[in-house]
Amino acid sequence: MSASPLVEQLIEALRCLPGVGQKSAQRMAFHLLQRDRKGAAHLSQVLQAAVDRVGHCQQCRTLTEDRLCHICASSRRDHGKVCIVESPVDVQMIEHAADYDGVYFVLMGHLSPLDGMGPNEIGLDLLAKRLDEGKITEVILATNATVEGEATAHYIADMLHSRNIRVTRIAHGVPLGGELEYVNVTTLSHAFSGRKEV
Amino acid sequence: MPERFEDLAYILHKRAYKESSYIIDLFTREQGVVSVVAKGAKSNKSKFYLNLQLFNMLDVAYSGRSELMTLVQADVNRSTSIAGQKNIFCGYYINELLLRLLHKHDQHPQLFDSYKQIVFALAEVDKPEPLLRRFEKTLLDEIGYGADFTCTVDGRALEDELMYVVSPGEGVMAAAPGQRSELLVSGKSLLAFAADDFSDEKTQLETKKLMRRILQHYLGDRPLKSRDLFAKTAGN
Repeated sequence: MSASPLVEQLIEALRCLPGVGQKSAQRMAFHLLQRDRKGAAHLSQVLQAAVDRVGHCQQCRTLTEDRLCHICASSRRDHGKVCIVESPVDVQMIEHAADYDGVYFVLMGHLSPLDGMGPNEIGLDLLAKRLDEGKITEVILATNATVEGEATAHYIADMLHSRNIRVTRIAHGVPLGGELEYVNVTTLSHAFSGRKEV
Repeated sequence: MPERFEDLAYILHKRAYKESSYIIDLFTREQGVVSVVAKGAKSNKSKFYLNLQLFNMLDVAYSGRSELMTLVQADVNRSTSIAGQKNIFCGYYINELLLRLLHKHDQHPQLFDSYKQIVFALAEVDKPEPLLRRFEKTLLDEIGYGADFTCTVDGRALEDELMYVVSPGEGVMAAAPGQRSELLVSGKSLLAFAADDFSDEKTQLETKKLMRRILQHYLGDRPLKSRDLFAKTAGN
């Protein structure tokens, strides 16, 4: 049985979401149309508004509908400390997890020359401009612990060393609650070389 | 039953595919460059999770009959510490060279061994230039574009004091009077290059320009993207 063209279109459109295949898309479409029309209308309004208005923060490049995101606009944050992350989700994660009072800079990716992601594509020209203003005293490199993330962190660290700014890289190692026996070999060797005084 | 291959391999390039998978260009020891799909590899429940990193030497198994094989196993054989280091960009460069110059499924076990060596060496050294030149030379020799840097095409041995021109695809020739100076290379540098001796700064400089020109000839008009990145780091 195939649904009407518009319903088919809705199902097809929902499949653009991550984790949603044919079956879930169908379930979502019928749920919205059969059981929750109000929710559906609300969803479509908010989605439209967000697509129209959400852009990038002019200072940190994260997603926001304002000129500056709420973190960059806040006077309670320490604007001399900048944490560099790969994506807006990472900002959320750090906000939840760490007691961090500085601001962020979101790369929206990592350096990957073969995919056409060079320094300017990840906003390093904007970062350089911010650094040149001279208000930043510390940079925390919180790019992913992948080879690409490490390469990106290294590239940025290189940019910073000539500017006399304190640069730190987040630690990687054995996860809390983790048993050594089950830790991946590379992680364990990193944890060893990054051991600290107790 | 599709054929199953077991091999040593490095990842040359990895790109996201669908939601949780990767399409990976592997450089395998016995089968050369092979494209595989690593299904579900982004998930932390995947058996590949954390293993599929550039510059890790992997024990892989893959199967399939089409152009795009399926990765079925990937265990870290040896990891390298190149990740957090400045020479990482050299690593990107050699990966791009291999992707651009090797044909899929052409077998180059010796080149694989050179690659393995350079990946480890890059993590250790301060000055990567000699390693890169050596690798570029091995690469050209392997794919049949190598030149003899000890004698000219008409069979005369090179002399330290004379100037020469290297023509890609042909070989070394004595410089004609009025030859454009950017094409000239000293006999001394060519002989040192052939003997794998980079102790002289001038050798390093001249061979760098030389190899860039020769590689450019085979790469065609499309520039190497990783070289841009490298130029920018060096300029910092």
